[in-house]
Amino acid sequence: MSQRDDVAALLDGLRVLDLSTRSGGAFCAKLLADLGADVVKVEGPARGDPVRDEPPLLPGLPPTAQSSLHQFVNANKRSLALDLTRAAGREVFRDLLKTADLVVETHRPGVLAAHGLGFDDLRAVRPDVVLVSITPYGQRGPRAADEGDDIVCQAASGLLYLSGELGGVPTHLPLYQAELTAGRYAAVAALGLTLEDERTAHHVDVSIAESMATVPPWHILYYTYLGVVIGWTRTRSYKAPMDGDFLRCQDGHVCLTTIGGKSLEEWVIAFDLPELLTEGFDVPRSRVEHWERLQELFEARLGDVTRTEFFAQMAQEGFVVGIVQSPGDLLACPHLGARQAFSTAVAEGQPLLRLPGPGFLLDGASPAPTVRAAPTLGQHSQEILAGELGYAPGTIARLRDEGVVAAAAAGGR
Amino acid sequence: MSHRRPLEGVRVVTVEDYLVLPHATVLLAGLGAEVIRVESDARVFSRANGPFPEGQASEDWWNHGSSYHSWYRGKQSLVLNLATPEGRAVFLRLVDRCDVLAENLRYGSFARLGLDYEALRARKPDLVVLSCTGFGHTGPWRAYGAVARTIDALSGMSFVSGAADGLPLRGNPSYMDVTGGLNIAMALLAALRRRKRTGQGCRIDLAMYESGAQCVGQAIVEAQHGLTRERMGNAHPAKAPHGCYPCAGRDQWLALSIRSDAEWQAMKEAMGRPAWADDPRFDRADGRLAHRAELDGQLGTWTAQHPAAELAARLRAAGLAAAAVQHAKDVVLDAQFRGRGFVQRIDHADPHLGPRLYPGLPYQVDGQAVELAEAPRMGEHNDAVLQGLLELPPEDIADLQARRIIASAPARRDAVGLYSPVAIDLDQQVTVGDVVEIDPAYRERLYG
Repeated sequence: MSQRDDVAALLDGLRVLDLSTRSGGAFCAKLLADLGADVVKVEGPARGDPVRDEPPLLPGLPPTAQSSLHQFVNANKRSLALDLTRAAGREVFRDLLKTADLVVETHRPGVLAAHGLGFDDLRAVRPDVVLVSITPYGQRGPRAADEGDDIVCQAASGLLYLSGELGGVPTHLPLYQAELTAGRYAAVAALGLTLEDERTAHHVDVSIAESMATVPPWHILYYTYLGVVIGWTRTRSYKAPMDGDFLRCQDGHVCLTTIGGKSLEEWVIAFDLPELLTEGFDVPRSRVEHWERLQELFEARLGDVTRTEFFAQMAQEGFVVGIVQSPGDLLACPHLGARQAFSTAVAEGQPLLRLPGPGFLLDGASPAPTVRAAPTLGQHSQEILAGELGYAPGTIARLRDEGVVAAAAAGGR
Repeated sequence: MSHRRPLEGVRVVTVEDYLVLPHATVLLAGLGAEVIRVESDARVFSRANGPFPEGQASEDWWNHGSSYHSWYRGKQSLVLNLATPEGRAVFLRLVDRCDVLAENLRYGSFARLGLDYEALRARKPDLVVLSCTGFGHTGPWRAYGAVARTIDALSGMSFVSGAADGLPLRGNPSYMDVTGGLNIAMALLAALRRRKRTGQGCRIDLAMYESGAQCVGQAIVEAQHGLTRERMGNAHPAKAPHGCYPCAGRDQWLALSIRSDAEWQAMKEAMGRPAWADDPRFDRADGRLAHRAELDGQLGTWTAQHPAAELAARLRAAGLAAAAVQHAKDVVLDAQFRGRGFVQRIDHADPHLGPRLYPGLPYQVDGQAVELAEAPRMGEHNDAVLQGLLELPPEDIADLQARRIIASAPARRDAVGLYSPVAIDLDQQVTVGDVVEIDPAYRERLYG
């Protein structure tokens, strides 16, 4: 339901089974869903994906769908609540697998195989399946079995060391950025493998820590090219101060950057700041050493300017600038509105929810204007078992009675 | 990868600079696509941006920048002046033989070159055309310039990053390049999949700003339910302890996340049950969250007595999520990254480069790391493309060369603005605290 009706969705006909219990795997499958894949979230009948329990929980939503993280990363999927630890559950899974192109999972290495659902087991059922595994350190190597949460993966990657205030504690990129980055890499690799002319089974093994180690490659290159270990004084740039530093204005913060084509003379004119030249800031080194003075000079000019005034005026004049917006500010952004950048997530009996879309326009329109809201646990068990796998009512009843399957009542509660 | 790679036979022409699109096309090259970068001899940002070997820009520095060699692996180089009619004619012939055309010039630049997306698609209906800019090609902000840093601020990422009592934080100067690049790759692969089934081309208009919004999707959901995601440093709304804790030595840290009461008990055991940790207020998650400051303080005092790597190993052995906060040298020498083949060695034939290590791709296929070929010298594939692919007669190629419509070196070898290829002044960097360590034995350590 995520497509316009005049053109085929990009990933029409691609079916994904999402076994994830971490947000990175869930996000990987969600990205594919937004481009038109049919994603079935296969989750335990008792609690479901642990992401469902991740706070904050939002009152007013159905009990198993209250997590804000769940509403984001599990949007546009259907939920089948199925116990894969039981033989009868695995039997159902194998039936479903016959219809699937991709399986996404985030268990510790070896866990799926221990349940008879390892890569070799899956390919025996579906010879061209692509299994995508996302774990902190990957499937093999000395630390493959180790635990790692988002901040821990950011630490191992080298990214965390470079992030934070001058002289302060390394500070992570919040909201599960390592998981999200790994999820994007996973989706790219998996999607690529489905483009083979003659499809065969593949196992994609994504490391969350390595995903973040690709982000700022320079720190690695400084070491491998000249033996220098760089701290970059955390976030402050070493060669272009004021380059993205935040400056206080009337109602928040703006950021300037010296990259992007404007000369210092043009900054002098725009801000009426002859000091930029008279105090020697035309030399980059001087900007590095005296950034506090630079900040003082600029902030004196920004005190009675609002973020939006600043942004409109400077950007129209061709300066590359930014303003600090809150996530809530984005919902009111006229530009994002004009571009239909948000998908509308719909669920019966729930208020409409806007979610960031795939990040691009396809032939001038959103690829995913309307999506399903994240499902309640087992919301689609019945339609998948009866409608798609063709199970008889008696079989479904038995699976439910035995607790192998859970099916939410109609209406999603 | 030993198997035939999935994008073999797919040809991509890309007019790219900076990082966002180059990151996407590296991924396509890794999947087997033939990626031809059409580059300018006047705008050489990507080639001028170091660091250079041993911090010294050589005579022909444009073939030696490490960031160039990292982000342009697996591609071909055609230096072609698109500002001339002859250059454009060659470009159009090349587009005719490609499946994908991608560009990340500023909004309007492509049109000013006389290149029009709709005309290109009319010429070749199954072409997949992608543009990437900060804000996309529609909407009121379409003509505004952007770089990853400003997108970080605009997208909400900076707002949610940083200490509770501090300023918003741009956590990483290039994160938005990587997120945008990944979304470009995804869009192109999805478009190629549909094209394979239906023969249909398409136009993709990607905005980095919207990829940024995706990064804070959870907080955007919360905002619609009246919750504002506040900055909270390294803390987590449901997990404590969660953060970076100081360790023995200068600027040494341990990252730790305790995700359950059982993990807290295991943590206590691993610490040897210090008296402060036996406080019953800390037994349950709600108590640890309510007394987070006290808990973090006590824990930080304890961690400060131990070396980070040793502590991380001890805690991981106890089944906990912990790691030393590693810097570049740690990452390059890390047994896990090395063992998996994430850190890749390229033995450059060019003696000015020699052997060098690079970060690879963070995924393996069927147990194999993805190999990426060395980045091309400037104009290395001029002949292969013009003669081999486009079948231009040698005299035409010589003519293009003579008129500098094709080239194999920058038009100007000196100034290229902010990113002039100057040697790095290490003393200066030590002054401002940027250099943590200079390892004089790094060559033997890495390449010996």
